[in-house]
Amino acid sequence: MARVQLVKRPRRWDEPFGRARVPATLVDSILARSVFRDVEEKDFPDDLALRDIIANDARILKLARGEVVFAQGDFGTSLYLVLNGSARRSSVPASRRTSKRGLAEEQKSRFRRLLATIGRGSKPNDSDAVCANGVELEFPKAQFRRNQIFGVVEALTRSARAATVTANAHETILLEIRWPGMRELLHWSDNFRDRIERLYRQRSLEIGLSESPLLGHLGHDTLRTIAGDCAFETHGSFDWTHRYQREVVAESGGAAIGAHEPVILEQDHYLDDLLLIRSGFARVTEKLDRGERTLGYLGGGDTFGLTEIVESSYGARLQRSQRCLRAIGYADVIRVPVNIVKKFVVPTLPLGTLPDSMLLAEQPAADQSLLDFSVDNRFVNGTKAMAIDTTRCVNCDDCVRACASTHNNIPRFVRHGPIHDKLMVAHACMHCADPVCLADCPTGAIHRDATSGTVIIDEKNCIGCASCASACPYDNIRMEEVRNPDGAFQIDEDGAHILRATKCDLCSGQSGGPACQRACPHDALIRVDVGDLKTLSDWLDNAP
Amino acid sequence: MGGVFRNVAITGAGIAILYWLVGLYDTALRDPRFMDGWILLAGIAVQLAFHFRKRRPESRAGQVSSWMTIHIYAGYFVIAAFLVHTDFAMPDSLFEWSLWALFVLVALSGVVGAYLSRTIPGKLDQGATRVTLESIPAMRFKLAGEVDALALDSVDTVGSQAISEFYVDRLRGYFRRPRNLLAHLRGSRRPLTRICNEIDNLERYVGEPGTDTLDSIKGLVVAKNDLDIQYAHQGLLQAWLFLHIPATYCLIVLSVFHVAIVYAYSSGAP
Repeated sequence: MARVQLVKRPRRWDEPFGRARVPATLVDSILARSVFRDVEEKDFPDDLALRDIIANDARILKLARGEVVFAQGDFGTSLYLVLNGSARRSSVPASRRTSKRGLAEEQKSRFRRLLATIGRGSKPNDSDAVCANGVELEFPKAQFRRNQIFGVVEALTRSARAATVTANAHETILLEIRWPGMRELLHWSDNFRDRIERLYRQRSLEIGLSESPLLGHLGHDTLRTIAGDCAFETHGSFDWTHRYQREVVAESGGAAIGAHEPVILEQDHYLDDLLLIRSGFARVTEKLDRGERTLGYLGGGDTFGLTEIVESSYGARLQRSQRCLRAIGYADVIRVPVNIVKKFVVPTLPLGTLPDSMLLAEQPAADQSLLDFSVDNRFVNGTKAMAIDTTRCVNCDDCVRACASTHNNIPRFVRHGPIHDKLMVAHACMHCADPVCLADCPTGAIHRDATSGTVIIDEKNCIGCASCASACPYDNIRMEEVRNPDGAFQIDEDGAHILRATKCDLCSGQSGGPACQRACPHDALIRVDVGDLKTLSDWLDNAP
Repeated sequence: MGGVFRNVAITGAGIAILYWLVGLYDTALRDPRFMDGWILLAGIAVQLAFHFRKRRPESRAGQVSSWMTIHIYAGYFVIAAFLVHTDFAMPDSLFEWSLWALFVLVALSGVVGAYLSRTIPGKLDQGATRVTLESIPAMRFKLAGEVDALALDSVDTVGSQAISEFYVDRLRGYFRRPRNLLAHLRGSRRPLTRICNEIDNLERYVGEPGTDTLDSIKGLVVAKNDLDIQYAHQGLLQAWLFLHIPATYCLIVLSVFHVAIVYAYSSGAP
């Protein structure tokens, strides 16, 4: 009979976010701030009291001038409130982005030929202001003062920080609220949710415009003017994973999944705006007989409709969209009116050398079925998916053994998964661009490494609630029964096993990269960004 | 493909240099067998290094796939070195015969294994869904239970003895263990066709009510056939290693013994 050890079942706030709980007097002072003034304590349930949330899911940061709160490109899902002093925001303008989508090369030249007919563009004149529609925006905020909040966009979208924030006063004091606490505040307080949503839309618009490779070169004032005419929209839902699992896959078996995705722009509709994808993913399709053929997909930083707008710039009539755009799960979109694009963007387009990110969906996919497989299963979300070439894999399980030997004899993946042709996407954490598993964790145990973005689980903080495992749309997180160092199973007073979430951590902390990939003798396994379909396709085609 | 040409070129160059060295020793009236013997032993040591690299996944000494490539091409070099060392002659004592036979066994199993590792994985996905070798017995047991239940039900629901008799005569044994493995390795579909024809022939006895049962049974037979295909190919992928690895260890022991004997009876400097 297996030996057991009786232990107390871990609970949510056994480990507060800071070294200790935020003292009660300080919580009172925080709740008196304007940000929380209209957050009602009575809206929260007894076991999730507002004061407990602040005390356990928040911590105080005391910083000297110049100290970094977070750096541009870091990953983090905390929200920050300036309690004292101020913080300064600075960012390096986004250079040309590497797009994530599967598109072939041929039609790039088509677009370049089109550009060549346009002639050389001229630099925009920043003084050419477009009339704002009266909407007041806090565009680009350089400084966060007392009682102001920052970090909203990244916390909600689980994305990399768009700017570096440093303390800007001699004694800057910040309240950092980790994601689980923020989620509860958003869930239970309508007022707080409304405020955060307003901020989210506003700042997403700011960041989206300033980061766009098309508009980022424009001056501060021009961008502010443009922002007044732009619209920010969210299509789909942040909680896409649950609906995807419960309804879409169950109903259609994944076959006609595209029809369930919310439409952002219909094919043949007039293209009034250039669409900038701010975050999430969108599928580009075109009608084919009675269905829709996927042409590619867009991720954060990509644009849609530029070709049509450029064409219409030199024709008399407004262009219709030649393709349809649908949100895969959710997609945040900024609509930039056509007249602004024609005025500020078209004249600046460099002759024949547009970045790939501007050429989205111009080309048919090189491998249509691979594209369909990747997009339908939403593997495009994966930045480090485990791809196995089944024509090379001899089932030797060296990858599994290597994983086990580097993780206390418990492998962190299952060498099995959906297969398309000779590609198997194994059940190993893909370290998603949008890791939805983070959303429901009550302790923040599952999080992204601040610098690499790798999704990892802090074993100390995992309470075994399995919310991450059930949220993962790809079934890549497992619950394991915890043993003590002597090998005895840990059980609670009711006799139930203590569980802990476990998943691939890309062998973080070990040199050389993932052991599974290094251990494969037949070059049959790679960790790959599925968004980069060309790399994946090349790897599959180049069997030794 | 470029990588293959490069590797073949390097291996060929290595073998050419070995021949040149042997010729040089011959010209100098020195016995080249000490020199090519040590080269052969060094080649075997390189082969062994692959094994140790595989056993240490945390090692930073390159990807195992790179070591595998070295293992394969160095293996061809070692075969050439062996032929040079033996002077293309057959052994003439029991000990040498043992050494020779072991080397041939290791080399042949290695070459065949490399070939199987390249060719079999592609066959695993043709038709049937790939399953792990370990899960096959459980899946086969489940199929056997389902066909058993269908045969039993057919007595009551269809009122047919033909199905139950066919089950006892043909299907029970078919589902009990892997069947027709050699035929599957050859890629032959004859065993499946034969049993399906036999099932089709039963339709004349069972009439319309039993047709559904026979269709279900046929589906299970096809599923079992797919499992057998997986079992045959995956089993072969693992089986060759059971020949290659133990023979390698024996070869190493005898080789060390061989070197000790050679130096014990050598007359001095070669």
